[in-house]
Amino acid sequence: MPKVVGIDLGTTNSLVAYMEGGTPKVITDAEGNGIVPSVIAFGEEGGPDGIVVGDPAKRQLISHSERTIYSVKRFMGKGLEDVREDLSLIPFQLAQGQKEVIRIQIGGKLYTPPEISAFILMELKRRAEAFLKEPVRQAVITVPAYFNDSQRQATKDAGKIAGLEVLRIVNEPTAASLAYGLQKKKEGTIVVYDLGGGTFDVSILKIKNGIFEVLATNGDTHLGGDDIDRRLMRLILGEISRKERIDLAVFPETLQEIRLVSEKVKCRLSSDEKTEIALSFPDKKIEYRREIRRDEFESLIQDLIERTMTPCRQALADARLKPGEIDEVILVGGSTRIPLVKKKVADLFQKTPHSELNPEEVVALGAAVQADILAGGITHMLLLDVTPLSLGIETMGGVVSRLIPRNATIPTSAKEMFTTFVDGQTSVSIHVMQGERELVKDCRSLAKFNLTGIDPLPAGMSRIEVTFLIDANGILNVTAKDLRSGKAQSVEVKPTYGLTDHEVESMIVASIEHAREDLNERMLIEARNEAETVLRHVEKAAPRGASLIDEEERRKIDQSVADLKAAIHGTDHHQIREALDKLDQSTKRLAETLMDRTLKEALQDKKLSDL
Amino acid sequence: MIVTNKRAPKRLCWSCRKEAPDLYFCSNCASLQPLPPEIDYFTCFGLEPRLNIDLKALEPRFYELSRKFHPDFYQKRSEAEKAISLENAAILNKAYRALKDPHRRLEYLIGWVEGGEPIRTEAPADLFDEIFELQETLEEAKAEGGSAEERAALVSTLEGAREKFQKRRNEESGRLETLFKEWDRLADGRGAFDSDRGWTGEQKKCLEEMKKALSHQAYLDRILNDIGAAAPSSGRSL
Repeated sequence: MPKVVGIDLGTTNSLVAYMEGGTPKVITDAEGNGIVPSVIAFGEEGGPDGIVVGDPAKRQLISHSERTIYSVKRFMGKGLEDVREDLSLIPFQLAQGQKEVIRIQIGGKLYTPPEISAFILMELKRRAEAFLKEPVRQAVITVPAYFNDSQRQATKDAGKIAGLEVLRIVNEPTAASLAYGLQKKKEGTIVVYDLGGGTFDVSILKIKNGIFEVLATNGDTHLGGDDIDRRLMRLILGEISRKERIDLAVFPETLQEIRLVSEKVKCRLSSDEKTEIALSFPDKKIEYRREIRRDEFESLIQDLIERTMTPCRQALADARLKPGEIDEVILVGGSTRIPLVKKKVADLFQKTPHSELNPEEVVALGAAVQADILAGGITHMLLLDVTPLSLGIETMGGVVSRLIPRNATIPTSAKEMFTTFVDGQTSVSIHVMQGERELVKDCRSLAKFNLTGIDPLPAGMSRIEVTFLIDANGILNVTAKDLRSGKAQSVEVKPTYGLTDHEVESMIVASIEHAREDLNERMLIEARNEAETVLRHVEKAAPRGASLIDEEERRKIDQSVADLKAAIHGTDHHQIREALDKLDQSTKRLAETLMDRTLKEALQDKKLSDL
Repeated sequence: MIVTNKRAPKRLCWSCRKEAPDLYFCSNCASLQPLPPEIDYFTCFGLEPRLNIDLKALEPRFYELSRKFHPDFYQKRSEAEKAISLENAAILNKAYRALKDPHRRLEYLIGWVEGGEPIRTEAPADLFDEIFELQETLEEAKAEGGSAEERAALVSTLEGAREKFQKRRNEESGRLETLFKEWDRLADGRGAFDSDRGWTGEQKKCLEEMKKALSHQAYLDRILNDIGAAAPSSGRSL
C-alpha cells in the first residue's frame, strides 16, 4: 500500500511525517534533522535550475537576499493590496500591476506563491521518498484553521504543482489535536492555541469516543512570530538610524542580517532573562551592541499577544463555553515558547497550558494521523472540523446574504434559487464572499461564478438551483441545476485572488519538466539510446571477430546481448545500465583483439612518418 | 438500528438496482444510499418531529451517523459513492446544527411545515408605546452632553426598561416552552408521523403561535442588546 504522508507547510519551517506501526513519526534527513526551513534560494537567472530549499537556502538569505524567498505562506491566496504593509520589510521584489495574484520577481522570472510553495513541497516529497524508499504521490497538507477559501485553494494548487495528490487540507490546530488525542488518549473539551511563524489560530474541540468535534475556531492569518521579529527589527533599525543617521532598511542584505539576529534574540529570551544584541557592519562603519531584558522585550510585543486574546474569547462565545468548562489547553507553534504567551493563555483559560508535545512537530504528526485515517489505517478516529468564516453572496445594494454560518461543521451546503432579470438572458453571475460583516466591501471576495448557457426565456422564467457545498477541506464547490430541464448547468469559476484550473495545469506541466519523474524518463531514454548504439556495434563486430574468440566467450556475449535487449524493453534505466556493463565486460577481450587487429591493419598500409 | 423510510415510495438501490428499504445502506449490496432529497432533519436522525428531544441521545446518534457517512471513510470507493457520502454528511451536519438548539429546531420546523419565508423579528403590539419611548431614551443616551443628574436619570430609565423588557422576554420564552409541549402532545395524538396526512389545523395554529413568540423573543433580545450597549454595567456610568 503506497504511503500517504502528512505535511506541515509552515511559514517558517516545514516538516513531513508518516505513520509507522500506529505511531506518527517525523521524517528526518541523514543527520537526523526533521525541520526544513521554508526558504527557497534561486539561481542567478531566477530559473528553476539551481534552486535550493531548506537549510542551504537559509544560508543564502544574507548573501543573495533578493533571490532567496522566505515566509511565502503569507502571500498565499492574497492580492498585492493585502500585503502592502509587509513590503518595506522584505528584501525580495513583488511584481507591480498584478492585481489578483501576487507574483514574486526573481531574476527575470515571475512566480506565484503556490509555485514557490511547490518547491518546498517537492523537497519534502524528495526527503520522504529517500527515507521511505518508495515513491510518494499522496499527501495531507495542513493550513491555518482561519485560512479562507482562496488560501486553502492556493495550498492545494501548490500540492498539485509539486506532483502531489492532496487527499485533504486539514487545519493545523485540529491536526495537533489528533496527534495529542492519539498519544494521550484523553477525552474532554480542549483548546488548541496555535501561534506559528505567520499565523494565529485557536480551536475548541470536544473529544469523545474517538470523535474529534470542533466546536469553534477563530484566528488571525496575519499574526505570528514574524511580527514579533519585526518589533525587534524596528527597535534595532530605529536606534541605529537615530545614532548613525542611516536607514539600514534599504539594504536587503543588512535587513536580512538584522532579521536573523532578531529571531535569535527572541528565542534566547524565552529561556534567558536578558541577552545581548550584537551587530557589526564594517562596510558601513557601524557597530551596534545593546543588552535587552525579557521585560523590555515583553513590553515591545505585549499588544501582539493581546491581539490573540480576542479570537480566543470569540471562539469561547461561539462554542457557548466558559473558561471553567475547558479541560485542557494545548500549545502549538514555535512562538508559544515565549513565556508571556504561556502566561496570557493560562490567565484567560484559567489552566496551565500543556506544552510537553513538541510544538514544532505536533502539526506534522497530526497530519500523518489524518493521512492514515484516509488511507484506511486508523478507523476509530474521526475528525469533524468546521468552516472558519461565514459564506455569502452579494445581493442588491452591496449587501451580503449569508448562506453558511461560520463554525458550521463541514462538509456542509446551502441551496439558493436564481433566475434571470431580462428577456433572453443566458447567463447569471454570482459573487461569493467570505467574512462576518454585512457589506460586500467589508468581506473577502472569493470568486465570481458564472452560470452560462441558460436557455433564453422571458425574464424570471428560468429556475436555476445553485448548490454551494463546502467540502471536508473547507473548500467551496459550486454546482447548478436548471430545474426546468433537470440538466446540470455549467458553472465558470473566476477566482478573485487565485489561479484558474487552467493556470494550475500549465504550472504542473512546467514543473514536471524539472521534476524527478522527468529525470527518470530522461535517464531511461539516454540509457536506451546508448544500449542501442552498443548493440549495433556488437552486432557489426561479431562476425568479424568470430574467429578470434572461443566458444565460451561467444556464449557469454550472446547471453549479454539477449539480456540487454530485454532490459531495453523495460522502464528501469538502472537495469539497462547493468546489462550494458555486463555486455561491456563480456566483449572486452573481443574488443581488445579487434582493436589490435584493426591497428595492425591500419599500420600495414601507412608509413611511419604518417603516424 | 434500521430506519425505514416510510415517506418516500419504494426506492431502488442506485448501485445494484434492487429494492433498498433501508435509509442508509442497501441491504443487498451494502452501498451507501443517498438520503432522499425531500428528507427532513428529524427523519434523517430517525426521530419523530417533536420539539422536546433527548439531547443526551442526539449527540451519540450524530457521531454514529457521522461514522456511516463521513467522506474520510469513502476515500477508496467509487466516485459515485464518494459524492453520496459528501452530500449525506452535509445534510447530517446541517440537521445536527438545527436540532441541537431549541430555537434553531423550531425555526427549522416552521420552515419545513410552511416552506420558504425566513422568520422576522417582530415587536409585541402591546409594547409599541414603551418601545417608542425607549428608542428616544436610547437616542439621548447616545448623544453626548447633559448634566451629571440628567445622565444619571437616563441610566435609571434604561435600567427600568431593561428590567421590564427582560421580564417580558422571560414570559415569551416560558410561553414557547408551553407551546413546545402542546406541539408534542398534538403530534403524539396522531401517532407515527406520516407526511401523506399533512398537518392538522390545530398543529398549524400551534405553529403560528410559536412563530409569533419566537419573533417577539428575537425582537426583545435585540432591544436588550441595545440597552446593554448604552448602559453596559449596572448604571455606574454612561
